[in-house]
Order: sequence, then structure tokens, then C-alpha cells
Amino acid sequence: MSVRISRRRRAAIAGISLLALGLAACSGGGGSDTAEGKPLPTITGNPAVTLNVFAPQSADTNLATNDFTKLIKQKFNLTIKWQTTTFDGGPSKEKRQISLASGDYPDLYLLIPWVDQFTTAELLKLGNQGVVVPLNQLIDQYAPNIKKALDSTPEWKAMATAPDGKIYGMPQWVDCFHCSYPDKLWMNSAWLKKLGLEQPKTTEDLRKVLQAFKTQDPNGNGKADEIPISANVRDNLIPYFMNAFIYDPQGQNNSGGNNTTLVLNNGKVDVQANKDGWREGLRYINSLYKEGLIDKGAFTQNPDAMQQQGNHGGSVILGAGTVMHSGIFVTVGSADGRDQQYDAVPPLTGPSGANYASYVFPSIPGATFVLTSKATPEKQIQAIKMLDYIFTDEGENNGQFGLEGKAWTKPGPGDVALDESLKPSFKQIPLKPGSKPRNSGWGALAQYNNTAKYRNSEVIDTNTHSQAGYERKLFDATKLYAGHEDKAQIYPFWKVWIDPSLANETATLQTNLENYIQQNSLQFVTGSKNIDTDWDSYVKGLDGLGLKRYLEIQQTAYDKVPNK
Amino acid sequence: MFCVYLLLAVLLAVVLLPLLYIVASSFSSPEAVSGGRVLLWPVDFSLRGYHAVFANPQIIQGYLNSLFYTVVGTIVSVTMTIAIAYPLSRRTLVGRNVVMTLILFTMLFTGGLIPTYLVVQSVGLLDTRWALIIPQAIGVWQVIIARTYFRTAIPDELIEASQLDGCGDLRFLWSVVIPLAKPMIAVVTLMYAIMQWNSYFDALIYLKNPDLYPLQLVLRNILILNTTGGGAVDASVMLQRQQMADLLKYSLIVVASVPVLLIYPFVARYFTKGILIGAVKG
Repeated sequence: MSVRISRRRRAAIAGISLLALGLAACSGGGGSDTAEGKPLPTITGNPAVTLNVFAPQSADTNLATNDFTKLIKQKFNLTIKWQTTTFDGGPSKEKRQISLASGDYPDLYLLIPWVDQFTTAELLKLGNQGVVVPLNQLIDQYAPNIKKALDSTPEWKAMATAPDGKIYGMPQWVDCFHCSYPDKLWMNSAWLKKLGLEQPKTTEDLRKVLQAFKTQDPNGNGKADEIPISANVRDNLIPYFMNAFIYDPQGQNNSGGNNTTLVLNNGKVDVQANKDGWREGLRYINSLYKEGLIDKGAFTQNPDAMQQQGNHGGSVILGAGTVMHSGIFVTVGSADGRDQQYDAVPPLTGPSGANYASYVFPSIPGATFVLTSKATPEKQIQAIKMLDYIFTDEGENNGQFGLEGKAWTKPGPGDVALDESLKPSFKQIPLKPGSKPRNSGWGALAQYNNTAKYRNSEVIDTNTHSQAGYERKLFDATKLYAGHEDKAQIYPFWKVWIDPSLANETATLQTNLENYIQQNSLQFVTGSKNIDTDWDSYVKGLDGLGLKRYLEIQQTAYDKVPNK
Repeated sequence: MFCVYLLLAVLLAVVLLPLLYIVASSFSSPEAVSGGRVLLWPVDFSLRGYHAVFANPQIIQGYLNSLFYTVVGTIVSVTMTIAIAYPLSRRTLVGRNVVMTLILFTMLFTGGLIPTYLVVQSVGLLDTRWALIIPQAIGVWQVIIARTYFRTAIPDELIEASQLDGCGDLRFLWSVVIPLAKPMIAVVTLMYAIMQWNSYFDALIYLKNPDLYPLQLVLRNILILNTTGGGAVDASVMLQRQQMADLLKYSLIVVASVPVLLIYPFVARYFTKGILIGAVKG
């Protein structure tokens, strides 16, 4: 249910956004060709500049009195006037769009991708209207670190650059290793040991393990209260299993991912959801469901409800969960240590030998740092200098976590980086639970140059059982999945810029197809549709929703991607 | 008779149990809550949630702001409502039907979000406290209730009698109408107060300065802490946010509901009276 509602809400928001864009056309505007052609003024030193910045502010931060805000003032003589919004994605988007539509927009939007950011379609439209200022020239003249970062990370550059070669806004680059493989299976190893079983390797092994969990009382309380496997609406149960039959590119439900299951077949864009392998996968999951091995709430409950299963008072009752990391269903550092019972299970091998893992591109295409025509050239230059500082490792640490010595330190002797082959470069100072928030950094607002090298050279506790070593546990677990993605089939949607005149149509088609695939998958799994008799009409239904047109649009856009 | 009581008891349970659950959870340790061990009585009694609520400057500031919006907003709203509803209830007012139609029209058709925003912006209310008070000052529904009440509860003979004694319109309103309309005023006040206390959307759209945010907006920002965030959120950040949300969630809901729960009993006895007179005889 909640999946459906959230999709509908998304559609509604998309509608409002188009309205807002339309209105921006009449009321917005202003100096449209300020940034084009004319060379930028040369600025030496840091003139005093006041910048109006629109940004989401979380409940534990006060941006106006924040340490990093003061540091920026000190370093660049830049006074920021914050126009804040909340972390609530939908309303936050509305507020941003109203600000654009009313012409009352700030100098700079500084956003967080998973709260709300500019979509590629919005960037193209607003760029054409001159509301959004391209960053190319600014970067070339004033931001050596940004230039270097983009040049050394071609995927990022491709994601940020519009088909006309302009960079209308800067997206965040967060190369989070464990997030790239979100569809993991976390299974209770203590139960396996007690029942004398091994981690399952094939789909049939898994069935036997789940049967044993259900019937042989692994928690030893004499009651048949065990839930063999569960999931929640945000961590879809299907992809992990589907990957034992066919490569499933879906990933987590709201990661901005690829829920229409787009893949590449020798350069042709296609979907997986109407293939025979997909059908076999659904047949298998349905057979588990029929045996009562999958929790009935797995497809409808929210993460909070799943936490209640994982943290269940008294005996442990949850056998396994298909979630990105086990902290989603069990409190890390729990009093009875039950969170340490859960370990990741590598991708299963299906009857036909398929053994994939979903790969999800960890950054979200669009832009979070967007300068507008309200900013004078002087303001633009100071703003890009600020971003350039955030692109350095030191600036990134200060920006994300807070000041050195307060929120992070240089590594000491004996400290080990997350990726042990790298030299450790920084170490966060953990905040005691329940203590006052530090208000020292900007958090995700300053998370830009998060390359794999930067992230993986952070010092993390080597004790993977402790809360401080949790990131390492995830890093190690993810190694079980990495490399199992089907590289040839991955559709690089992050590099594909859909023509803005087709953006509306594409969004509608995509929403309809996503809903249809999602709903029918669930109906096949839960048995309200019969996999043998209803399959053909399901496939026809996909065509009826405009699958052909959708693939055609994607193909045309994909063909225009310069460096595939 | 028994059936009625049974039905009412079931209804009471449906309303009361979630409330009790929230209150019990707010006094329990977060671990007990997320383990599903709390039902209707606190488990591992703990005041950590309340400590955290009162240690957070944003929450305190939000609380004070909400009190301001509620008190000032309600006073403004009630004054304006009486000021428009009383003349409209007088049969001697020329053109009252036209005015009433115009008022009713806004019930069916509104300008929409963006035009309304533009109006608020151009009169300079944006990012001020008044943006939450003035645009919402008059509720059509409350005007109808007030007008109907005045019309039915204040007989024309009273006006004639007062006029014979040399009483002007304002004096009549102040000394006769308002005292007679106390039940209705109580109801309308409660309606406005609850509306102001619960509203967050206007604040979200019109306010940019976080020091002006009402409690509901702060509350919402905290409650969604552990529900937002897709794939690319760091696990450690997520764990931190989850702990904070677990700790604050229930105590914050209780703290935010207390003022409404406190004023309600004092006004409740007028409620039936006011609503019935407003609606049935209209």
C-alpha cells in the first residue's frame, strides 16, 4: 500500500513541479545572459559578500550558528543568510518550486539529494530561461579542485554535464561501497549453528534453511514464533531472490533507482520484468510464500515495524531479512548482542546457474549546488570558491563532520583505514549517544567529493562487532556481492539526459510502469495472480502502458550519451 | 441501552488505546519501545526522552512560537470573525447576501498555492510571524456558525429595546451580544486555537527563518528523521538519526499535545451547545 501511495504522491509532486516551472517562465527571468559569453571579472582576495542560501536544515543543526558557517565567513569573508526548509522531501520540494515560481529565489540553492534536489529536466528548463547560471566558466577560472575532481572521475563529469556541454548545477558524488549493493540477505548465524546448518548457497538450500527456521524452534523457547524471513516497503524482498534467476537492476525502493528494471542488451535498452527468468524468479518466491516461509508483512510493513520484529522483546524471532544493512531491523549495539548474530549471505545460485547481485549507482543524477541569476558575478565567484574548498579533503571533513579536533582528527598510530590497503587519512570523533548535538558541520549539505578513495581511507574500528566498527562490517559484507553484477547489462541512467520536452511523458510512463511491475510482482508472489495462467496478460499489460514508447525514449537519449 | 454503552466503550477504546500507548512509550526506554515490549504501561521507566526534548533549543523555541501563534492568532481570528459575522446577521444591513456569497465563494474556489504565495509576498508578510496569522485569520466555517448563532440567539426585540434606551451599535455588541454569545465564542475560539496549534504547512511555505518555526514544524522535522533517506545515506549517520528519533518521538508527541488536551475540558461543555445552535437551526 504505502509503496503505491508514495508513488502517487511523487506523481502529484511532479505535476506541481511542472506548473511551477511554467510559471517560472512568466515571472522569473532577469539577466539571462549574464554568464554566457562575457568573461568573468577577475577577483583577487575575498571581498565582503552576502549570499542568500536556500537549504534544508535538520532538527539537530542550526546553520546560522554552525561552526562551519563561521569558518566559511572567516576564510572567504562570505556571510550566509540562510533560508531554511525541512528534511521532509515532498514539502521541501514544493517550497523550492514556489520560490522559483514566485521569482523570490535565493542566490544559491544548497540541497541534499535524498531530501530534494533539482532534476535534470528542471535544470535544462531553468537553464534555458536564464534562471540557473551554468558553472563551467566559474569552475575553469576559480575552482581548481572541482576541475581536478571532475576530470579524475569521468562518470561524475558525465552525470553533471548536460547534452549542450554546460554544467547547470553540481550533483553530489557519494561513492558509498556498501550502498551500491543494497540487496543483501542478512541471516541469523546463531540459528544456523544451533540447527547444524550452513549458509545457503543455492535457492533450494535456502528453502531448506527457512523450513528449518520455521519448524525446528531455533530460538529454543518452545514456541513456533519464528519468522523465517522478512523485509519492509523500503527494502524490497524481491531483488535478492530474483538475482538467482535473472539480473535484477532494481535495488532499494527509494534510492532513486531503476524500478522499471531497465538493462542493456548489446546496446539496446530493454526491461527484465517481461522475461522468462523474471517469471521463474516470481515462481520461486511464490513457492516460498505458499509454504509460509516469508513473513506476510514483508511487502507492506514500514522499517519501524520490521524493527519491532528484529528487536522483539524476549527471544529473537527473526531469522533473516533482505535489507541493505542489518541495522535496519535490529539495533546495533543491542543490550543482548543479538545484532551480532546476523551475517550477510552471498548471492544465491539458481537452478540455471544465475548468481547476480543488484548494482545501484550510489549518486542521484540532478544537482544540489545551483546558482541563480540573482547572484552577482562577485557572489557567484565567492560561492564557487566555497564549494571548491568543500571539494578538498580538509574542507570535506570540516564541512561534513565539523571542525578538526572537535569532530574529527588526523589518524593516530595503529589506526586502520576502512579499506586496509589504503593509508588512513582521517578519523571521526564519535558523539556520545544522548549528548547535545555538536552543530559543528553541515552534514550532507557538504558531501560532495566523496570518492571511494576518500571514504575508504577513513579510520574505522577493527572490531566489526562494535558499533564503531559497523561500517567495516558492512564493507566486508559487501565484498561478498561486489563483482556479481552483470556489468554488460547495467543501464547507465545517470548519464542519460532525457529531452526536457519529453520529461513529462517519460515521468508518467515510468510511474505507470513502475507501479504496474511492482503490483503485479506482489500479486504473483502472494498468489492472487496465477503465474501460469495470468503471465501472458501481464506481459500484454506492459505493452498497453506504453513500454515500447518508454524504451524508445530511453534508447534515443542513451544513443546521445557521448562516452559510453 | 446496553448495546449503546458497549458501542461507546468500543469507540472509547479505539480512541484511547493509541493515546495510552504513546504516553506509555514516552516514559519507557527507547530499547523497550523498539523491541515491542511496551503496551499500555511504561517498561524500563525512563525520562531520557523528556530530558532530550527540553535540552533541544529548537524545540523550546518552537514551543514558544507556537504559543504565540496560537494566542495571538486566536485573538485576531475571533475578533475578526465576530466583526464580520455580527453585521451579517443583522437583517437591516444592505447587501449582506452579496457579502455572504462572496465569503461562501472562497469555500469552493481558492486562488491556489502559488498565487496565494505571491499575494503574501507582495504585501511583505513573507518570513514574518504575521504570515501565519493574517492570511488564515477568518475561517468561512466559523463565520457561518457565528452568524447563525447571532441570528437565532439575539432576537430583534433586544435591539429595539436597547435602542430605546439610547444604546449604539458598538455598545449593543459589547454589552449584549457578546455576553449572550459566550458558548459560541468558546467553540469558535477552540476551533481556531486547535487549527493554529496544529498547522504547519503555512509555516513551511512562508517562513525561512528557523527561529520563527512553530513546534509542529520542528516536530515533523524530527519525526521524519529516520524515515527519509534512500540508498546513499551512510549507515552510521542513519544509526545516529534513528537513535535520536527513537528517543524523542513519543515524548515530543506528548509535549506537543498537552496544551490542546488542557484547554479542551474547559471548553467542551460549551461545545455541544454551540455546535448545535450553529448547525441545526440554521
